[in-house]
Amino acid sequence: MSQSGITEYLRPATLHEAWAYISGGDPKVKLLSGGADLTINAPPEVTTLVDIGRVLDRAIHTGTDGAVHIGAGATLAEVLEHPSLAGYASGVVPEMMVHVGSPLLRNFSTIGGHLARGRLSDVVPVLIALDAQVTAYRNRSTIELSLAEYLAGRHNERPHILTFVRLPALDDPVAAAYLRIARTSFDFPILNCCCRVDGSADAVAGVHIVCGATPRVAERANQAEAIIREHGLNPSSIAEAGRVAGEEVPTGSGWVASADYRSHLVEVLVGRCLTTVMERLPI
Amino acid sequence: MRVELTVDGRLETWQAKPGDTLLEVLRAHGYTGVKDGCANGDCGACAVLVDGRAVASCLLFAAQADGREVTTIEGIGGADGAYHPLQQTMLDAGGVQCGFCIPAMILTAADLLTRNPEPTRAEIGEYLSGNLCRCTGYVKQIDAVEMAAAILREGRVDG
Repeated sequence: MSQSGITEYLRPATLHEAWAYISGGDPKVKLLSGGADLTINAPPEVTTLVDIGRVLDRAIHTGTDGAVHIGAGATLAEVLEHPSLAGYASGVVPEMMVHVGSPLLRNFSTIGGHLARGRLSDVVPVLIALDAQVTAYRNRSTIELSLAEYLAGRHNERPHILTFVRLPALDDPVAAAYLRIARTSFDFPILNCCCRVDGSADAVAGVHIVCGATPRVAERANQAEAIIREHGLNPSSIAEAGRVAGEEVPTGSGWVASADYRSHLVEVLVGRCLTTVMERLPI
Repeated sequence: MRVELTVDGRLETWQAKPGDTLLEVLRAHGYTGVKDGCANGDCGACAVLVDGRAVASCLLFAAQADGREVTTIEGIGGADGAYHPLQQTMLDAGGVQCGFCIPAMILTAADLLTRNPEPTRAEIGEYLSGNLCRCTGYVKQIDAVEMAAAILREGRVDG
């Protein structure tokens, strides 16, 4: 449906020109990357769109450091299909990405636009579990910070443009898994969970347990992680980690689910996710 | 604002308002094979190919298509008016009932077959997951995509 309140559409030729348009922090001016959200949910105050779709890098490649670099202009479909990510952390990125909307959305929605939006995301918990870094452009300079820090809001309040996502090289063995609950296959998640374990089931070197759509953006379950670090991955430690995660992850009520229901889902999804991770780690 | 794009092989230069969607401008200029279903990104009836990838045209601003190549159902067949294999197999398999969702479903399937010439039934179902059909139950449409894939692989027609 036409957004009649939008009266100006700007096509900057450079990243800096795009940044200059938003540098004043005017709420009437909004960046447009893929655009899926703005075509139907443009805030009423927005009158000007700054289309950065053609100034963002969209390449995906593995660097000499083993990290996977993703241009913020890459579509979700390009991330889903890229061979660099097929085997990264037991393929958890494509495992998750296939649940984001449908191909009709993934074929033009960009990873940068998706992360800038943040909320109700399948992508965010997985990328936080993978220790993703993001690069933000501001006035001819860039800053690199963790996605978790970026979404926490301390660094994204001033006008900026998200330009790159970097997934660090991982030391083998590592395994990860992703699960979600939603009303339909391409609806927003009611709750989702990504678990990653480095090392082996008996000797855990690192663990990430991240729940998203709680409906906050994403939460790490630190106490549950401590249980797995201390006791390794086995049926009883997994059950205990799930129970603790259900208690520690803050959940909220919305029109699709109550906080109690979401807390129960945290326990169930964390348990199932960790079980899958255990099965994926080498014996 | 001026939007210049190629639609079904024809260079078009249109005037559009900054907030117009691609769906709206296509239909306003006679490309009515692009269906206006929910206008909310849910039903997939408005799908077109933009630079070869199936997208929901209700979720794109018209200006985003500037300089791009757009293919609608009117442009997917042969230059001589022959049906694309997906159009023919959709008829042969009985995948068409009311027909409202079919143009978009064919375009989405064409995108899939371009990149995955031998999809499984599960892969076809997943790729069509954003194209809702309220008549058929999808089985015959998946049959049709499988049949078209086989035809295209055997090179029996130009796809």
